[in-house]
Amino acid sequence: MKQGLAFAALMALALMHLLWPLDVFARVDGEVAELILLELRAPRTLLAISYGAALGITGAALQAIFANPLASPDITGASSGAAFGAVGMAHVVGFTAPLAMAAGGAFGAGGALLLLFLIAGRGADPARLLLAGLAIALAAGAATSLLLALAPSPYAFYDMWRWLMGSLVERSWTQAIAALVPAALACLWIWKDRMAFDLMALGGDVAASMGVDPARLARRTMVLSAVAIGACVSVAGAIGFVGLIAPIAARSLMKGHPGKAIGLAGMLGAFTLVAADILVRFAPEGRPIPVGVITALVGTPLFVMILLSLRPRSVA
Amino acid sequence: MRIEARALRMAGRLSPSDFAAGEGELIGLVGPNGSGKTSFLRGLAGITGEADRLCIDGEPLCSLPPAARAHRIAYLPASRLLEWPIPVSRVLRLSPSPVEEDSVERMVAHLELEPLLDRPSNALSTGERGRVLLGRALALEPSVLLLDEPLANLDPYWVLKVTDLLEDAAAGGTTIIAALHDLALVGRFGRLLLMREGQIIADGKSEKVANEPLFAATFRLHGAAPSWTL
Repeated sequence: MKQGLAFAALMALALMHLLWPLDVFARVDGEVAELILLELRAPRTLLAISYGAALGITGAALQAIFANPLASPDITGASSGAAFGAVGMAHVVGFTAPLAMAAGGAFGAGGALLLLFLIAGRGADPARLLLAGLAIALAAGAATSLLLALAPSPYAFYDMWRWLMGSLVERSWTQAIAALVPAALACLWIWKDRMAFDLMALGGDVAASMGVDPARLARRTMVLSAVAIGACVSVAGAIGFVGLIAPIAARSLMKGHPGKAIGLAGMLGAFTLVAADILVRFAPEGRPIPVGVITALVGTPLFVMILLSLRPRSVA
Repeated sequence: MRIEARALRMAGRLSPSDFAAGEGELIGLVGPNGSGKTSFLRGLAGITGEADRLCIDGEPLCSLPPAARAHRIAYLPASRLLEWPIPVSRVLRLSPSPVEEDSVERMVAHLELEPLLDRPSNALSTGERGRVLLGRALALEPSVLLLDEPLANLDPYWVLKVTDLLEDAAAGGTTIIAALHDLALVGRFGRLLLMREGQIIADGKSEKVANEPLFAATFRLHGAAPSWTL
């Protein structure tokens, strides 16, 4: 029921994202209008939906395995790691094909998640997770900037804001598909594990007594999240806060179940990113605003509210 | 046999141990701190460790799909950590396969969980979470119930009440193995397993095991049950 409503709202907003502003179509003839719709607008809409959904789903899954409502692709440093991996693939290794960059992004995100899990694994103090994620994100961001500054192309450096803040404009069908296909496959696989994530809420040992392998589930979730985030970031840069807020909203609508909330988190994530990408169109002519600026502006106050609502962890 | 383990072992924690129990046995598991009680229970639950054979009702535990496994074996961990704000009413029904409504209702009544049903489970006290997790485990009506310190963190009222509940469940056919710290309660358990340094060193009727000199010596006590001295 809730998921049905969320899906209907998402579809309505996606249609608006695709068609609005409408007056463009009145000013051009049919052939150009078709070109705008199919070659410019449609990949952007598709990318916004897939990236947003991937953020929501991987955020919900990471929060479930870290047993921490603050774990998300951005807070864990996975998004920054993915940007570093994709930039490294393009400017150091020299492969710029969308799928090669998606693979680079997946390796970068996976490395960041692995490092974080080693420093602040399941059930770690939220402060430890936040600080470790911050360190990883800062290091990966600086390394990305360094690679771009040293890149052979003198214009690469000006791409920095796109990698670090994220943007969905002027992406081709090939790029949209390079993000969509790996993200969709990884997210579907994560979604299949939703019952296991709910059982993990009873504690790793209780879940294990029912046949869940907590260590394997954590490994699988981190690899799949890295694939989904890596692919999306390699096309559209690192977009923050959607992957943090959408799962928290979804869980509060699904009576706190980390697993049952995964599908809804995907829809809310897609809705948020599509809405943010509609908002950036209000920017003055010739002053493009990265969509990540909007999600960060809206997301940070919510993030602070969540921080304030966290109770000190009770020790049992 | 209800549950049968052959050469159940865990490197550094549990020496290869054989164990078997029949239907409806109520077994107390005792031993000093760090003697391997939790390791033994986790091994029996199939959480970690290895075994040449680990069967419930004659079927290998690892061959059972999660839905069937949840009704064969239930485990109560010593750490009663619940991480997410799932309401108690949902925690009681959280299982890979549907739980009988009647048996959930019975547990709510026995464990007086009614006032807690709508509360987020991660906001309860340790003792309350222990009751909720025990209620959940019992509501599954498993063949085997493995309980790590089921009486820890409970008020005296709840210690007696839970002990009664375990006796009832055992009378109903559930095989129960519970790690205990309070030696005053071992008399309520028909069979006693005594552990030391990762090994089962005594296994038998509770009045017999508890009165052996080995029992007192293992706990570094003198005298005999129930009036031990230092």
